[in-house]
Amino acid sequence: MRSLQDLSRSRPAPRAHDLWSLGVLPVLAAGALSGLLGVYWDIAWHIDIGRDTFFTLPHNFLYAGMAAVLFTSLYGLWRDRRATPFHLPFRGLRLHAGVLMVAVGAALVLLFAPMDELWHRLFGTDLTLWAPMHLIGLLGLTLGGFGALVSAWIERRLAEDPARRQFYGGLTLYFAAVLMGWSTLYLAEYEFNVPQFPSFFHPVLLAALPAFLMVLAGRLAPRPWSATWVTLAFSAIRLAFAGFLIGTSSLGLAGDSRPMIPLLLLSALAVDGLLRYGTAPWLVGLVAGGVTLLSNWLLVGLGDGIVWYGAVMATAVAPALVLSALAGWAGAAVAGSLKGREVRA
Amino acid sequence: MRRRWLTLAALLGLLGVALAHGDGQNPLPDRHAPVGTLTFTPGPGSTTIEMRLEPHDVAGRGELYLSLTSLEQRGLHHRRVLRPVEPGLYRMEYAFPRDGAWVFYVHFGTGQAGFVGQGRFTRAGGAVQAVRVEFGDGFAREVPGYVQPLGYAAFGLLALVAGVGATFLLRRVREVPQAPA
Repeated sequence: MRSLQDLSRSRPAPRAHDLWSLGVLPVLAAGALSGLLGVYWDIAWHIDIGRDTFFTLPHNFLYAGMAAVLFTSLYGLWRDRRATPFHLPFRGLRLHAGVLMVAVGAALVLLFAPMDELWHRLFGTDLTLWAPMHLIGLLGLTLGGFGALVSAWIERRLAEDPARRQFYGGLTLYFAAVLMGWSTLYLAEYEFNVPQFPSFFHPVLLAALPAFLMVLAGRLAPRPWSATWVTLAFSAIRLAFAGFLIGTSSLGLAGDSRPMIPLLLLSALAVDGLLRYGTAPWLVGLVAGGVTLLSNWLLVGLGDGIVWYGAVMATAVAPALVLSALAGWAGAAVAGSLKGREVRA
Repeated sequence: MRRRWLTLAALLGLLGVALAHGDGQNPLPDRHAPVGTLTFTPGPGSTTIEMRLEPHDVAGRGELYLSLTSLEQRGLHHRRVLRPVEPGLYRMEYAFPRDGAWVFYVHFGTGQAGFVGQGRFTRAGGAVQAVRVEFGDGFAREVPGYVQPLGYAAFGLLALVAGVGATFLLRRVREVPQAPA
């Protein structure tokens, strides 16, 4: 029987001023997820209900979440006074590199919400996710999500307690899963089968964008099979969102449209498997893109809506593979930066 | 410092290219009221639905998106991206699960610079009369052609700035040596 003293020793020791104990990372974890949910909810609303006013339920949910993220990240920038090489000295403050990215991303989203409204009023109701102002909002959300991942990883590097390091490693993978959600969100028009741009872009971007995150997670590897864990978490999040959309729809609080959930698990298994053998990252990305293309080609073939017909695939395969190889290389490069300079004895 | 000025010059150049491109109006040749005809031919198990565009080359070899939604059964819809079977002619098969009132939405072109058409029809006893579709511009009236490219240029500029900023921060993180294992 373990004594209470033993149990308290086995718990991660809280750090006085790390981002979790300051309450910054818990809010970012909730904010990143609620932001993603808010956008999916918003798209389902736009498709089936329309855009009669700015203050719809999904808009309120999304922007309130982003305001909370912005406020918390500014609080974190002000309150976190650790003098580490990861903090940028600025007028008496020590700006945490990851939190700074989050703050800029959240500010971008909130700044461009009124710009989007103005765009609609001046130029008409644009019915595409890839409208300029929407893309700027998505850019802010992606930057914020990436900043959260960087924040968690930096905390892992700063932590001395092994249990704390493990905790922050898991949190990094969580943010990678949410970021995978953000990356596929760019394809939501295709997932909901309401595309306003050529079908060509769907397989190309679906192959490449998740490959970046799979290789990033696989190379950071805070635990074995990290890319697979990230993709499993991503799939679970998307399934939970589908349940939420069905629930809100039955209450009359969302539309009836549901997005396709991309099949990425096989690609992640391939990534983890190849990285274990020291395969070059660009090749890992290329294989991941190829597996994603193949598995989702079969998946969309089972449905009645989205069509990746022969001519689309004929033109999309080569760019998809090239972009996936680049994404794999970039994922490894970012992972290398986050891990830091190797010190040779 | 020199690099900053070069970056700024490159960004301004990009903006200029976008503006110049935008001045050439929209990508489609004729912005004035293309029309279409939606016809329904009942078959043994399904209905053949055809959309014929006039002028027939208005969408080029581009795709056409057609969405059908029942007004009488919530959640009943069919959405499909179609390729032209010949210039200006798009075709698909659909097994209507029920009669009644339906609405349709058609789109071709890219994004907000494309054309949209919508309307409604009633299916009675399996038959549907042909419907004429007048396409409208995705933009509000009298919006200059450079608006959309300018918007994308603004996005590109911000994406570039975000990328440069993130790279700067990542390089700083990279310089911190790894802790000994």
